[in-house]
Amino acid sequence: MADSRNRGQRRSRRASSFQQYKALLLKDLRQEIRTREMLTSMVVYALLVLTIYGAALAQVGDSVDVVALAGGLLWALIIFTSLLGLNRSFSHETESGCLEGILLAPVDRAVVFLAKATSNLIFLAVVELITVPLFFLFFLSGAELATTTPMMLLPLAVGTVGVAGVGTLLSTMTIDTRGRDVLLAILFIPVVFPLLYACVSATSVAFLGIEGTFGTFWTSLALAGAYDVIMIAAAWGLYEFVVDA
Amino acid sequence: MATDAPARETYEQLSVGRGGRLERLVPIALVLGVVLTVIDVVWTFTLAPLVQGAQLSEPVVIAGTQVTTKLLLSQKIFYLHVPVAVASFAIMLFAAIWAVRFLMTKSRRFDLYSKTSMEVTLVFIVATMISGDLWTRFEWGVWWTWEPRLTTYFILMLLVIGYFILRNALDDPERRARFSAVFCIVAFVDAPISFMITRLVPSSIHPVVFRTDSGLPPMMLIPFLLGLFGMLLIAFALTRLALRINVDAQEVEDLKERLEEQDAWKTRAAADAALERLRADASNLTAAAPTSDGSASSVRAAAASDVAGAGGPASDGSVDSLAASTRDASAHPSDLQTPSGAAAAASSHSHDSQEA
Repeated sequence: MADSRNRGQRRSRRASSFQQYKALLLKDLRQEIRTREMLTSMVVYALLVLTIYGAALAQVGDSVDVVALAGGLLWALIIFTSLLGLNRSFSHETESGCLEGILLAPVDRAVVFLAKATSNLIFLAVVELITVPLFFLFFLSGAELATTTPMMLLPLAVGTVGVAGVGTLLSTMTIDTRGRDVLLAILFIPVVFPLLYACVSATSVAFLGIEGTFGTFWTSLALAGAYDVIMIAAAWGLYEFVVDA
Repeated sequence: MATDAPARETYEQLSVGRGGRLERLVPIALVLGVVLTVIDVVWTFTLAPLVQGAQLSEPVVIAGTQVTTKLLLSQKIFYLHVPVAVASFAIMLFAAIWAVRFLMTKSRRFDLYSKTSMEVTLVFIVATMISGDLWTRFEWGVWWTWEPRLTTYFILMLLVIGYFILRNALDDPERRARFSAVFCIVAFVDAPISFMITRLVPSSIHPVVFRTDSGLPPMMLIPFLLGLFGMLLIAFALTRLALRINVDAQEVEDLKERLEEQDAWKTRAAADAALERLRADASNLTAAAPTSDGSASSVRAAAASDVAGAGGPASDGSVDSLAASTRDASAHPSDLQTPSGAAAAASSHSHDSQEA
């Protein structure tokens, strides 16, 4: 009886890691739902990139098989859009001293990382939910799609997880630096490159759907998955050195 | 935690390894490395046989021997290119190890080691890129191709450049050391990928060098190993030399900071002494002043105590509070121009100018 009350008190004194994670994640989501700052800018930016693609491909007409290019184009769109989102994801944390507040609370740094990475992942997924269909509409509506096209969702998921994980670590590092927008791009693009390479290769195989190339698809997917595991583990472990100031 | 370790090590601690046995080996290593590399180059162009390339359409006679295949002179770059590339990976490994050591100990020494290794890594990476480009031009007929090995190595170069851009973008030395160590570790992940990719990706056309079945004849293997060993020695010596320069630069930086600190200290001590003098003057004058009527003397006493009260905190250099209190005191209607107030105002003014 007394024991259970004690336990209850202890629980009320200090939230479990999962509760902390949930609180931090909900804070980000709530903030985004109220301001819609990040999602709006990311979606509009993605639309602009699609417009640029339109201009870039306007003159080639039917002479170029867009399906063969589509994997690369799609991933360029995702990388650029996520870069913008990652830059923004920490700006309001610093503006109102929110990050200091979180760090003052007795919360494990790994939980902070996980919450931030999850919120970035959710925002990226929402943006992809809007832009990927638009991409198909704008560039692939006339093309003959292979029956294996839906398989592109696998590299898309694996790639987005990796982008959110690595991006969270790097954007935390660059928030207080001089010229942080450029710096994030300089650090993020080379670091994420192996993942990009693997995902483009897997996505292209899925788009083309040529019989006998699916060995490459699974190899690339395995490489991307291995990259995710290594990089997120590294980011998780190194995060405490990045935030305690 | 950063605060547990001494935030600033003295330069004596920084220059650990200075004048040690390892340090005396540096010039020897450099000379030996250069000699070995020179032997490698000379051997490459004299004793090592040419590699047989593609079949010729008809046999030709070159220097008295009949040749049926194209002889690849461009292969000679292999004896220099591969050792340089291996050395670049080796130093970057040390940079990453020192970055981990830094994060474990928070000792600034390891940050300096890591940064120095990254500098030498960049030099070797650029050398590898240049020599590799010459080879691809003559072997593959293009200056650049997005082949997996070339691409990952190019990315490695971008990561090392990014490391230095990150360093320059951070002002606080403690934070700079931490962030760059983290990025060094993250960047190093690409090195094994680049090393292994020719084995992992079947479409890679870059030759795989390190394997047990290479079957290199001794006349080719020996110069290659000499070059490899020589280049590693050069890399080691260069890192130590660069480290010496960086330690010296750090030392100068520390001394400068210390000098500035002492300068500030001296200024503050002078200000304290002047304040002490001023307070003595003030009390003398208050004691000597005629006590004509009670209210005036109480005001004067209040003014004096104000001055004295301001003197306590003012010993840490803030003369402003004293000036403010004197101004308060002189704002009293009766005996505005007490000698004490005037003297205090005058000397506090001189203090201000001294501080400025």
